[in-house]
Amino acid sequence: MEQRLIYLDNAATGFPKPQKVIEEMQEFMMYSGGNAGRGSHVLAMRAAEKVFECRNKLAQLFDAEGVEQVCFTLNTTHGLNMCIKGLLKRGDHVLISDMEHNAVYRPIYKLHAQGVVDYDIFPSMVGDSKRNATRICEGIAKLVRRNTRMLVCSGTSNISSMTMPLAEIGRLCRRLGILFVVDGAQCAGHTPISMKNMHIDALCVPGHKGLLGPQGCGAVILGKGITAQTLMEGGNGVDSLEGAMSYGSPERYEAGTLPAPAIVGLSAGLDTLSSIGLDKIEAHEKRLFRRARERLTLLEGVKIYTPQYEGSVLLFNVAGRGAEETARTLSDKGICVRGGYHCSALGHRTLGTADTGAVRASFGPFNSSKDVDAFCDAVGEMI
Amino acid sequence: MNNMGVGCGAAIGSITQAMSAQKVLATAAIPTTVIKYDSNTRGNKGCIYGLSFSCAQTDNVATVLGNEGIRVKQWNRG
Repeated sequence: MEQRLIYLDNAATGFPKPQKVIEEMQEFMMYSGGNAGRGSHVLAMRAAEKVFECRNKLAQLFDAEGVEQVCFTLNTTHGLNMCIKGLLKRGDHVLISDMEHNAVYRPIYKLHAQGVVDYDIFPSMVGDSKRNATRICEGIAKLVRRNTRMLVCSGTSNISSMTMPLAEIGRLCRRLGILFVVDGAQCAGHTPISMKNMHIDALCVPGHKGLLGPQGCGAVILGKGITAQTLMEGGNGVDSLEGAMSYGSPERYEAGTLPAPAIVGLSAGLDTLSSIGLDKIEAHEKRLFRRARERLTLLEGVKIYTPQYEGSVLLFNVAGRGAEETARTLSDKGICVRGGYHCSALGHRTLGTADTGAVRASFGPFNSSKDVDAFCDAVGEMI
Repeated sequence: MNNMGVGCGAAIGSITQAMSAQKVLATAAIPTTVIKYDSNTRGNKGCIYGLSFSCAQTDNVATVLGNEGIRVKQWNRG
């Protein structure tokens, strides 16, 4: 009998995908698979309508200024590169948090190494949960300079369930005239995000994690009046006789053929998200987290990092075992988790796990308490 | 004959912009079809999408799009 697979790596990619996602993608490729925005025949127009539908759903989900603000990308990393490299200029100063993923850190690190920008890192885990927002904003304010142009932070880290106080940070940035770019990779589809209420100037999200779509697409949703230099130039189906990519959003940022099958899958994922309800997903994941935390806390030799923050991500280590060894042992038992550094150099330094790495279990809407119990049993067997 | 062959129309821009305009007009109960303009449209920089609609609706279309701040690059009034 095949071993039951327990998937607890939703922070890497959501799994399984809803059946509707698979069906809609297949139907698209069979009956609608033209190139959106490139022609006017029936298949091109069907594809274009499907792409437009997805833009509309994303605009509504994130309370964007309009459907034209939604620009499709390959993934969050692509979107963050687009924003960071497209909005910063030589001589600018940038602020990032101490828990940022390499998708934020590396583009800024490179620009700094090239002498283009300067950056500072603000602490995110300061104060207790009630005063965290105030303390974080105080820390940010201390680092702001006259040439501070942008602040980039994740809504939620990929190695801790701490949620950044986006509304408070956004308000501060708006007051100080600083662009506010959010890495929504781990919060999109897990907690509500309103670009308007949170004063977000650019939100970068993946299609394949909390939004329940397939790998291969993501989006940058731009705030009103935000125009970036293009990361990539090429055909976009508009003003084709012109040499310059001079057109407005979204086509300005979408050179080349869009990953329409993936976008259609994302659209179906958004429908599933809507039918379950974001509030229900958030509550469900927190329940699973609490169950795992309660059980693991009882195991001597298991250390949980930032246990006070409840959400979809639980980071831990087993004493006397390397992180990769723990992940491998769990994998042998059919439990999918991720060991190592999770592409988060800054985050692991902040949590004190830079020397060891750690193991991450990340829950999703299709995990159950039985999954958590099996996971905790398996960890217990290692002690 | 105009660029669409029948009816009236408005050249708007990208397909996304054309579909946004269509959505706005649908809210005002004005039916439209998204079309791609011929490449010889005067002043055209290349590929451009727009909407075709009944000529009787031209003034209404202009009013609705104007109220929403949607710019029309070229009108075809039949």
